[in-house]
Amino acid sequence: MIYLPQITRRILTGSITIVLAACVSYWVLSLITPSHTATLSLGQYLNNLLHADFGRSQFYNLPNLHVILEKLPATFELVIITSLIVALFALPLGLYSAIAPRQKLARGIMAFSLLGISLPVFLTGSLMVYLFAVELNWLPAFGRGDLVWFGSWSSGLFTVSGWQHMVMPATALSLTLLPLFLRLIRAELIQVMHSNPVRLAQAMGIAPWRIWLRYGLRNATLPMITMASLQFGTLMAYTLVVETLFQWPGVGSLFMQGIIRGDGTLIAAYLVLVSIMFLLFNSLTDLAYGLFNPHLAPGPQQTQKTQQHPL
Amino acid sequence: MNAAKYHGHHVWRRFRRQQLWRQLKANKTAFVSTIVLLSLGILALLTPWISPFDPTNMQQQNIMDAELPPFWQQGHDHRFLLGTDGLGRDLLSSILYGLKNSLWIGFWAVLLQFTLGTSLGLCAGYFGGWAERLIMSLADLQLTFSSLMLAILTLAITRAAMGAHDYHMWSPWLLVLVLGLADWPQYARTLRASVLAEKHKDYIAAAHVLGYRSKHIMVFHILPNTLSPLLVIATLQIAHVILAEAALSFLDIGMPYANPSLGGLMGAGFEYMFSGIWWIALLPGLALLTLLLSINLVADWLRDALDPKNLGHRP
Repeated sequence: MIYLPQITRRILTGSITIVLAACVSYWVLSLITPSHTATLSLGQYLNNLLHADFGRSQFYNLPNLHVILEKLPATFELVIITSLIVALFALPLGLYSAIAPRQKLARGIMAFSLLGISLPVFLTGSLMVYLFAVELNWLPAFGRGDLVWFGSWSSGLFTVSGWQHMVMPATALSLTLLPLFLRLIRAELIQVMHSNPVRLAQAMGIAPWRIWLRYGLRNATLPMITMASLQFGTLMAYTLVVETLFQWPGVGSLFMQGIIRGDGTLIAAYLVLVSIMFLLFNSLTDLAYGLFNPHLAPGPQQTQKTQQHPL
Repeated sequence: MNAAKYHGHHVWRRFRRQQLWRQLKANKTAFVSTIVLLSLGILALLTPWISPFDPTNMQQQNIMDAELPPFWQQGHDHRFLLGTDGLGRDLLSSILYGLKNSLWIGFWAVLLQFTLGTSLGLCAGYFGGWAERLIMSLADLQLTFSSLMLAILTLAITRAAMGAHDYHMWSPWLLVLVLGLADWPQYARTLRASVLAEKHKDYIAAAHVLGYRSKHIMVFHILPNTLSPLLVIATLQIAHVILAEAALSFLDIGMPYANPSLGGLMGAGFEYMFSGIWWIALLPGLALLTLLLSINLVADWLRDALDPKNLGHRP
């Protein structure tokens, strides 16, 4: 085995993955529009990608990169707001249902989380559309509303109408991830609360809230990072569904429209960009893992493997 | 005849004396959800005989019957208990057929996952060495991608490449194949861990001494002792696969509209909701929710019941 520094190895595997993804997307392109690849060899295609040339969309007759970057802010904002909602609700609710597992409210939270796991995102979405958009006429059912432009970045977070349009998609999306994180936090915390360090802290008379936050939640960060990196793909898949349902003008609905229209170059460009995004996110979670895990000090110490038992 | 009857009676009595049955009776939620799940399964099996209409038969549908409401609303028709969809098909029959299709895909896809994951996990745990390293790194690679995202991308591209008409001819088989291949690592990882714990025990050594072949030891000695966590995963996966299939059908890359599943019915009914016709989308959604919830509850109970830690505590 050859041992390379962590960062070199990561860059190497990352670039290999991207080249592989590019080859796969060339193959996909040749499947969907064979006439296009007749004049474009694999080498040329890879060379074009290297120069940030993702080809022209057949439907929009614009550069694919331009089309995708124009839609990216919508998806990005939806995902960010969803993650915020999940974090804001999962932490306190999980904490509460772990501290007082026999309380009625805690049981209610757990029942809700079981219901939430079984609730398909398009069912919640449809129900909300029917209730709040059709019957009560409170919230708009599709689109992003009024936008504010910062250069080429369009944002809906600075207008009332933008927030009104955000409420239903973000809630529907967060209801899919919330139960998972809630159950994870609860399980972790219940385990931690019965561990020896916590008993010691209780015996020492440290304030309960201090124990919950410093011993409990801190121990739950690592599994949460793992869960986040595992669920990122699921979040993207559900983003696709939600964007289609609420006609949210993001990258996911762009991809689905591209599939229906048979826009091969757009689909290929989307595949390459999605694999790059996956890589970026995985590197990010790895970095966060190194930051929060005391056993994995970043840098050259990692080879020594000084893993100590916690007690 | 008499002997068979006696034997059947005997088996039933033995089952009733078992731990699992007692635990099922003690847990009200699990008992009810098992009954709901069993009756949904029986309904799905009997669908061709009990459903009032055949939604795949175009002779039986009349566009004049379109968009009729269910029986508790004004303007309903006594022939259509739960109303009709936009093409004049009976919604009750569509839901029954959709239930059948969803369960069919769930069953076969999970069987494929189970076979694949179990055999790979057994090999990885039993043989070790390069086979283990290869299988486990494949499993890790697969886990970083989400199975749903993988299924959406694969099936969407297949649809774009084949065209909608050809795609819908093959889509049930493609769904089983893709959903079955996309989610094997969970089984493999769990099974590998339990095989590693099991393979150095004395009864395996005894089997080796008796001269059994590796294949025989793996399948008949190790597998039965490591099966219970796999059963829990498989039960949960049925719900997962049905949910994924419904999402795919909702995106119109799943079952064809002529032979819909529950997700496809909802996707087709979504547009009608804006004119206040909610039942086409929401009634199949309710059936889907009942199915998924009962499977998840049964799986939850099964996990607690099969956990050896819990055996001592329960009566």
